[in-house]
Amino acid sequence: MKALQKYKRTYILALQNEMEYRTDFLLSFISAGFIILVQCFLWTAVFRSSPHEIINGYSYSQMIIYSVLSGVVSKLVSAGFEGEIANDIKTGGLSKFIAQPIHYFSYRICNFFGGKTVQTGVVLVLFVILMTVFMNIWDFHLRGVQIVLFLVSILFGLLINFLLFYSISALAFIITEVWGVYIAFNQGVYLLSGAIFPLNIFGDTVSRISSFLPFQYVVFFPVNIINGSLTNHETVRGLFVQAVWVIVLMIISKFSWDSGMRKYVAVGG
Amino acid sequence: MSISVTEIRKHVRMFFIFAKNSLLGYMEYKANFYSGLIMETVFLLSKLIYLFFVFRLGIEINGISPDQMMIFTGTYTIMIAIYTGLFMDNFYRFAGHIRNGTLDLYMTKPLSLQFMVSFRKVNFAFPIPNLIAGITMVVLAWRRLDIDPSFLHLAGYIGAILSSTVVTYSVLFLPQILAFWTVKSGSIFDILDKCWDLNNMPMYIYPKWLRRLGLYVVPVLFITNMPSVYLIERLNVVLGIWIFVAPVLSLLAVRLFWKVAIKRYESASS
Amino acid sequence: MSIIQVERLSKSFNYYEKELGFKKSLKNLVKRKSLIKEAVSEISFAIEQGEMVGFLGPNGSGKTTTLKMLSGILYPTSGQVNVFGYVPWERKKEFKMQFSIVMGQKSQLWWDLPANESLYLNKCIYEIEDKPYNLVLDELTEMLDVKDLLNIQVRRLSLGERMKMELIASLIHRPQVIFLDEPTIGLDLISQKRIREFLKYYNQQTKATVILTSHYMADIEDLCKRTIIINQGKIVYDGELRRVNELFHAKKIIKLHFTDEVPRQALTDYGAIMEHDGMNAVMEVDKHDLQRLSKIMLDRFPILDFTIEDIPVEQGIESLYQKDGVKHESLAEV
Repeated sequence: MKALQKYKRTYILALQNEMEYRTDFLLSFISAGFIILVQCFLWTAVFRSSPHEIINGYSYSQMIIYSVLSGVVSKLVSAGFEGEIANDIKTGGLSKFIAQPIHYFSYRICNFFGGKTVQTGVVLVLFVILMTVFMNIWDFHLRGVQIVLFLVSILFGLLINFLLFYSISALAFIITEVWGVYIAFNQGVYLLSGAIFPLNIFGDTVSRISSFLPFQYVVFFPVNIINGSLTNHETVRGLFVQAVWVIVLMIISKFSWDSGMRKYVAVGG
Repeated sequence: MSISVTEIRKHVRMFFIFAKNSLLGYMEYKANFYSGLIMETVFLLSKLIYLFFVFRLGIEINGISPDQMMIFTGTYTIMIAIYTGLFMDNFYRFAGHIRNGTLDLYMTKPLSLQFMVSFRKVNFAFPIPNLIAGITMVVLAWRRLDIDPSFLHLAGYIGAILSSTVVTYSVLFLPQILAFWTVKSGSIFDILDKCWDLNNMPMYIYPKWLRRLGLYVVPVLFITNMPSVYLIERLNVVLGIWIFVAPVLSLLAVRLFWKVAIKRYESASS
Repeated sequence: MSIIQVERLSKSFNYYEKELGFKKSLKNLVKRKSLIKEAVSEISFAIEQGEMVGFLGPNGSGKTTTLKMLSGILYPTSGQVNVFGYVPWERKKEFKMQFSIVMGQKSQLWWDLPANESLYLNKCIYEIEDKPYNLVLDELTEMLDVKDLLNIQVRRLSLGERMKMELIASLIHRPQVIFLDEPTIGLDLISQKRIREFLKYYNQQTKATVILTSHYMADIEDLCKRTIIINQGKIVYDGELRRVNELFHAKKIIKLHFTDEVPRQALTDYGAIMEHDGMNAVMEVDKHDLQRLSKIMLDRFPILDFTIEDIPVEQGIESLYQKDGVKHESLAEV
């Protein structure tokens, strides 16, 4: 048990750090708010102009709920540690992890979840408020199972996103000015995860391609559970695919970091 | 301060030297250039998704056809190129100049201080993808909408872009000036920066109150909408006058605020 | 007619008292205590053309603030300044064209570019014609011995080389008044010396008026005939640095080396003991008593070596600072 103590400590440190910066997190919600605002006005205008009640399988209320929740969820799962990793690699801060008996991966994941614990608290409060509002305006229901499955899928989504960014961070071993790639990757994940538009409005081809990629399981899938646009069967299958992706990405991240580390040790840090 | 022709000529010349120096800096750090290029291209794609979506839908949204939408997105993209190329780097650096005291040094130079902090850096990486995509979209939509490619139309459009450029400068520089009083002007600027995202869509999808707010009070919507509105011939008399008045008014406001701020300036100690 | 005239110049800053703790910050939101710090208070002096004057003083004494007012960066709270006919803080272009300020810790050079790009930029800012530009550039690079460094990126230069470039950038327009704020800060001794030599030579050659602030006594001792010592916003001394000690009762220092151990008590009658370790002693002695006392000491003690010295300038200046040290920062509630 003693070996786990240091990871617990890392987790708690990250938690405290996040408490310090909770206003920053709230502020980032305000900025996300603008995107959500554009989205809501856009959909209102679209549904008003369209002769159809249902567009690409979404009713007006479902679409608004999707837009709001996807904005919130994408903020919650966002990574943001890739810059720190690049810095650790560039300035040699990584060396101390080679020397110390703490695994860098474990350190990062404890750090990540430590920060996310506080953010989840904020998001849950926001979530309850939003749901109450939605249930009062529209004929919208939530079952207990849905909420449980949603939370499970969010957990998986967090893991997938963490692993995606952890894997890509290893690029800093080979590229010196890596920030542009990071931000581009961040924005790419943002798009492909369905944070702006639900992915199925772009037609079957896009849907099919994206179902083979891990990205949609970060935002699109969890939000659709709440939205009620998935059957029970589809939900369970989705959770299974999420689990598979977590395993695949763990292998990928191990591979990319092992080859990066080999290079790092070779140059001498 | 009297403004003479030679002074203006000198400042224009200085601008080109600043631009040249920025370019030389890029040659020194090529990786930075490519990094910026990749990043901005992905951001451009995420903006194009909106347009792609509208074309897939294929209907008029609040009276705006997909082709007209392309005019809006194209203009938005051109304005992003102008903003990121000319202003962004300088605005981000501004608070730092005050904190580090480099502003003190600039202040003693026989050159307009506001000019120097506004145009010292020119970004060459970000505008490239935006400029190419933006102009392509506008030209394509121009053709598809059968707008007469007369000199008058073109001159009018470019004029409107210029007017928008001045408004962009003023609206985004004004909150920067607050850095003279408080170090934490960052969040105000951040929020305004996000307001800019409202331009992802033409103003016609917004309710009237928001449209008025964005045109006349905090003219963020002015920036991309005016040139497009001119092209799709939705310019009424009020907007037609406003397109001339807004840049003058906003620039005056910024200049006045700047003068007050600089007079109260108490340079960083050390 | 002096080139720089300063009359009863004052500058005070407003600042707010910051208290730690959440409750206190909340309280501060409602009612903040506004405090005034007088950085410079009622200083007056005049400087002639071609003079080289040093400002000396501890950190926060107001020397940089004074320099900033002389160069128009800061508005004063009260008082008048005239620099070759201009009021600096009106920031007239004609004024800016004829002076220069160098701040040791702030750079006007473009970090990623070779220095000559920054110099060319200044050529354009100061509207210098090609011919005089090339002439002055040649001359300055020759004097500072940096001709072959002009094409190297500034960030690759050493601190000393960078400072030389900084000086060239500030002198390229042949200013008639030059303000130097800590120009040798952080440099090694050789670079310091090179820059000092250059400044001395430049001042003699061009008859430019130079005002210089520095931490390093050597800078000022070496360069400036006249020194203005500022402490807590006030001028405490204005004159030749060497003669600072005349302000005090003339005292001398006697250094003694003994062949045998001499106890401390045996020495107390002859003067103030500064240092003592049995075999050696340093004492401060009144000038008129010097002859009498040294005779007695030479007779009484087993003296191996005996030297008489002046009080070092540093020590004199320190006593100057301490003279008003009792008074604390003048804080006033508004």
